[in-house]
Amino acid sequence: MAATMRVRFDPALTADDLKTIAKAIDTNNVAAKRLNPTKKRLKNSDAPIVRFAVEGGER
Amino acid sequence: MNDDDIAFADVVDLQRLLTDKQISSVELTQLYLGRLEKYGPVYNAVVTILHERALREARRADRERASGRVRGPLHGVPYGVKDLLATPDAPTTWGAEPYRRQRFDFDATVVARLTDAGAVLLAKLAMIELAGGFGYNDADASFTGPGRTPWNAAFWSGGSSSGSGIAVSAGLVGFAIGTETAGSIVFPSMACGVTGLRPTFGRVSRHGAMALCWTLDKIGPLGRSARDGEIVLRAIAGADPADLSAVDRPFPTPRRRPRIAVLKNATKGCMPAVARNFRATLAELATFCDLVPNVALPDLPYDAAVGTIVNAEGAAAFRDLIESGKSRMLRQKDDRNGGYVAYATPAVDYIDAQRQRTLMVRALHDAFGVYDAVAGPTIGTVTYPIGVPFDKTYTQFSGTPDLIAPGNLAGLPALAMPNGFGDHGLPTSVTLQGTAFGETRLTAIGKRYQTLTEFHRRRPKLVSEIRT
Repeated sequence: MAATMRVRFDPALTADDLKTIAKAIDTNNVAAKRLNPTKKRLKNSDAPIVRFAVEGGER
Repeated sequence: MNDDDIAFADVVDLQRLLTDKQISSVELTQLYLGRLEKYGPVYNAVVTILHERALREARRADRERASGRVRGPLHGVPYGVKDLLATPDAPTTWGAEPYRRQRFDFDATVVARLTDAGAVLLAKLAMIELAGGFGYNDADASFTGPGRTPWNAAFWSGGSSSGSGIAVSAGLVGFAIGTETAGSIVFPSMACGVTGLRPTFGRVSRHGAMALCWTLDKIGPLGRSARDGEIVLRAIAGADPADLSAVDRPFPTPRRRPRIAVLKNATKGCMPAVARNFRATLAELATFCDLVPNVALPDLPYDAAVGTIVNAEGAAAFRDLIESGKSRMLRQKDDRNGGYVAYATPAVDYIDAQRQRTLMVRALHDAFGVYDAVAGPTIGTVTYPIGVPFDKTYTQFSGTPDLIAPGNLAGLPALAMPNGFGDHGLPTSVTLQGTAFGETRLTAIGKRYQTLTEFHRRRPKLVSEIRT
């Protein structure tokens, strides 16, 4: 994934940069596991906090 | 009163001086402009000083006062804003090299409301580049250089509202506006020894402010007292058609004897001075509040959630910057790569973080909703030394529970107040976190606390140059 960043956005990224990016992505992946821990799985009914509201229509 | 006494007066006292004609708004503005010129560059506090606008607004304030019109408690009082709020008079740089020449042709809603309240805009103040959204790991993360706390210039001012904290602490403005996504008002308030008020999410319009994270960003005041924080908040609060997240909600009446929950293990892993000062704060609060000890923070993945949400929304907010490859123009090396890391956040992680957030809002309401405030140290240490990566600093004091991530995820207000001093002569701070839209209950406690203590009145000894 880090290498994709070089191809898509910034050919000047060095091998060291890619290593740093890959390491930080790994760290985030570890953190992400805490978002849905095995012992306390999110249930299907646990909805996200994002709100959607319809606008317009007849009043 | 000498010039220093005036420069360090709070808004209430400044208004008294203006009302009594001991000073005009133009004179007060000139005093602060001189101090911004002298000390701003020393502490890396300022991006742009707005001489013409400031004097124009000050003259207007004096003219109106002379004709009997006083708009309110901020009439003629000079202030500064974090340089992520749009104004037409100068670039709005977001603290970041790629945006140094960016211009807007309007005032952000907060600035427009302060203008309507008669306040005088002095300066656009320094900040961490992109409000810290790309994961900076040391203090030198702004094109203006590392913000230095006026209490000890070898140490960081905190961020991302760095200049706002410094300018209030050093008496360069009457008050300042900062923003917080996850700590950017309360941390610099702690580091600079000032009083910061993070409002409830939705209390203040964000129109014209740089977006880092639409579901977390908030705008609020940093000042020299809790009473100032309330005055400024009342002036900037309210619904705005340009920001649908902003709402009109009443400010609740404070209770005669507030109830405060004390966070369980609040001082575990803290620096000794932070723990000592927090205990002393509780003793003061106990003289007029009912304290309920050992109230536990619900065990939920706050740090993982806030990190994931800031990454995902920040990558979207700055997608153009990331995709253009211009993030390499950022100052701090972790920021230069951080955009790419954030860009790689899986959508399902972001959604799961927002699902956890639903649980957090409920759990925090269940744990703390019956109290006027929950108290804890703002953070477990004093501020960090400049030149040392954050993750290598004070490692022996990690593990302190703090309210920053939980409070921000739940959108709750918080008041951070200086409560003493610790290592290296640096300030420590207590945070009172409230219930949704309960800011005035926090400021009522803060005002009473600050009549019993004088940490908020202490002044740092300023230097006119830094020897490195």
